[in-house]
Amino acid sequence: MPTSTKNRTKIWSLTGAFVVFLALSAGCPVAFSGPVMPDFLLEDVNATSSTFGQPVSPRDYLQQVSGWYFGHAT
Amino acid sequence: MQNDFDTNHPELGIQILGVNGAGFAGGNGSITSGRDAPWLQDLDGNNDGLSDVWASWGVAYRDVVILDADNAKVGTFNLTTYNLQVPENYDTLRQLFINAATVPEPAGLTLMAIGAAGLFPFMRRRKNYLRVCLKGM
Repeated sequence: MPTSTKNRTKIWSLTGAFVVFLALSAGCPVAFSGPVMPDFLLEDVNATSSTFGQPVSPRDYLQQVSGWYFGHAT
Repeated sequence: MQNDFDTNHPELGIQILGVNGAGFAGGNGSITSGRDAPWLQDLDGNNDGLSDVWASWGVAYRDVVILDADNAKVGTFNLTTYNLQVPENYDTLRQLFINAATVPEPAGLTLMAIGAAGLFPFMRRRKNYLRVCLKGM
């Protein structure tokens, strides 16, 4: 095989390996977040909660993960 | 689940709160009995028959919305669809919280950055070799 063809093959091999690597990296499990949720202020009505009687906002929980359960007290 | 996180993963600082629908305040005493998680009372300030926060967040009854440290939505998990009495559902929701608290940035991007950083020295070492190759084409 001529030298120039060998060199071309090597370069394309390197390029191909890099492209495959990028594709595999992009396919890894990723925890993408959605939109920032609208802010609000609501009173905490749980008498045994540490924030009882205070207005609570999602922004109070920046820098930590929070879960917001939407239910009906029945 | 809050007790679970407080006991087994206090370092993650995960906090779960409840938002009661407007018009259901009558049951607040019973639902908060024996619980110390914040229970917030939503309102219908504009009298449109909808709970204001529920409407602005676009949630359904018994949704759990998980927010990351920037208040961005990670996901929604409905407890009517996925009853937490089923151990697999409990584990799934628990893991969603833990993942949200332990994945600081997209793993794919991190790998790409590491990969690129690792390739640059290699490419620099091969610079002369590549020059020769290109001349030969």
